[in-house]
Amino acid sequence: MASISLANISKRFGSLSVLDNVSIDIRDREFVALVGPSGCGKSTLLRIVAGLESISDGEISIDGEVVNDLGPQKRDLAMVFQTYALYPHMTTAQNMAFPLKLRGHSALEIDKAVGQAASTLHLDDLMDRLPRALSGGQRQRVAMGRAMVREPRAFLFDEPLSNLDAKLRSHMRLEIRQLHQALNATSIYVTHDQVEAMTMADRIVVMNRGRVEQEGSPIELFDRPANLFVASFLGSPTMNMADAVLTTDDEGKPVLSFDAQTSRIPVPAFTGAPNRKVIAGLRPQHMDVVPPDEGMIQAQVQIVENTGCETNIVVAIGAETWTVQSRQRQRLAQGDVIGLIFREEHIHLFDHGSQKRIN
Amino acid sequence: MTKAKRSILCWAALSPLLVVAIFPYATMLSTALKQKDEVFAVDQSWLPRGLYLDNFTRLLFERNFGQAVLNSLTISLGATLLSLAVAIPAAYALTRLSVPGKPFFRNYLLITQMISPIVLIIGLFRMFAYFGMINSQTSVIIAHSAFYMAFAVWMLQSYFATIPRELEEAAWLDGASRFTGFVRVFLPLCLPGVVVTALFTFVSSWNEYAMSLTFLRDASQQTAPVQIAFLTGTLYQIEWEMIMAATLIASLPVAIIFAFIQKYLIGGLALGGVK
Repeated sequence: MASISLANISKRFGSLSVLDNVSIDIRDREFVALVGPSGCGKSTLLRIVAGLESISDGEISIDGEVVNDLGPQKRDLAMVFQTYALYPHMTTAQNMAFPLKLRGHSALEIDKAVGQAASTLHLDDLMDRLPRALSGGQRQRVAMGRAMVREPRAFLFDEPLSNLDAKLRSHMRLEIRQLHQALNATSIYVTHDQVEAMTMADRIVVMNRGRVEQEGSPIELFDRPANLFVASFLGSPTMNMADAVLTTDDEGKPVLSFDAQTSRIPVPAFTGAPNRKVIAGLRPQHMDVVPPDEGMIQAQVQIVENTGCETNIVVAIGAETWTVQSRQRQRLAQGDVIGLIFREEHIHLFDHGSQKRIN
Repeated sequence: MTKAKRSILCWAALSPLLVVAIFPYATMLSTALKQKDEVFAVDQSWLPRGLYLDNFTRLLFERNFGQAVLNSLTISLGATLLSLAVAIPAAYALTRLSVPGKPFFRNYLLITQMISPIVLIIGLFRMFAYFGMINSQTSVIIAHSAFYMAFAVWMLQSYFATIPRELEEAAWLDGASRFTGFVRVFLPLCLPGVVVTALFTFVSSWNEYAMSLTFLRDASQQTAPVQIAFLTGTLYQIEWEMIMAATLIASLPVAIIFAFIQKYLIGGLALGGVK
């Protein structure tokens, strides 16, 4: 297994900059997820690590060895593609044996390695089938098997679950995680699905427009997003945002007032400079519904969505639309006025101009 | 509508086409099996008097048509192999590699297809004469493969473009060099496209007349189409029964190949949108 280091990686196609000075260090045996919206450069970055794309600037090293000029054949990495990329003219067994055959392993060794991988991935009954005779989930497993057999230095996953249905996706999520624990392999996992990233990764790197917005453990990113982009990208339903003003009360303690609300919410823990315009964020899970006169802010119910275990209440706060997620069954109707309460530590404050976190 | 009814209707709709396709073969076969007096009889009949195979034996042994068919086979096979040997890497480069001036090269290939071979034939004759290659089948193989190569490249590149790039990339990550990935992953997947292209090249070369006539002066070197043409024009009378036997023999290899690779042909023609 290996550590992978990306230092100041830039990639330009003519005047278009796809990656701009990206630096990430991936430790040995770590499971790192690269997340971001479509076109943020995460897949390009993975392809750069794989050796499938060249870089315009920067340095990639695997285990301390600079591999900038090394072809994908020589980097000893395995990749699971979004489309699985199984060889259509080879059976499951042949697909899995292919990397070992290329390395000149004996038939005995190949049989043993393929058999082992097949039994780990429950593929034993599908060894003679061609890819076209396999279901999406089975193809996914074969692709993983092909990556596993040769014990590469690291695994690269390029949105491997995006072609599967929701149920299978959550099942495969678990399997990949278990596999990672069993193999203890360094893994880079690209996804646009924040749930996948949150549930699977030891560390998440959030990317946007070719730059790293923030990196850290899933909980760190969820609890303390560094900027507005990360705050709104991670979490489902997405974080509620509203324009607000930070001022001080009569005692000089910082208070927050939302543009559309009269109430002033004390934020004593805030130590930055007050008297400024900010964007305040609150996660839907961090608010409770109370009668209007008991609420820190008031809102009008627009839509109530019952998902069974949770109720999503879409409310209007001035011109903003917020979502409140409640674990209790709420008897609310459109047009009802409700109060919302929340704890100070759950308020995320971002500078209005730079959109960076300030609390 | 029942299945039987539908199939009868389909056959009825297709029958005019069938007649058009079968009529020349029926005429060839019928005439080739007749004796000379039968061919010009007032009362024409589709069926010959008896199974008369003399036209074929005379053609093959007296007129040396067997040698012409063999020459045609050598030239067509040679031209097909040579043109594929160049067209496959060229098409691969055009679809997969960043080659400077790619659009220009594509247009250039297209423009070469607009020039009739007959326009170039004097120039080619002089060139082959300079190299002492007149009367050599190699000259026709080279000329044919050069002419059909552009079409082969076009056809192949449109097929190659349908093969997902990830398959090769997966092979590279599995440890295959570009060449190994090409041979073990890419080419097997392109086989239908390669077969169809080979077939078109083979048939074009098999039927080509002007260049074969010009570069091969010796009767023993001549190809089947040239010999058939000589059957019509070099004698005081036109021996239709011989001509028909010859055309039947000449069209057989192509028909056999088409029958064998039908499934590739349908798959291949449905792709690419070129021809």
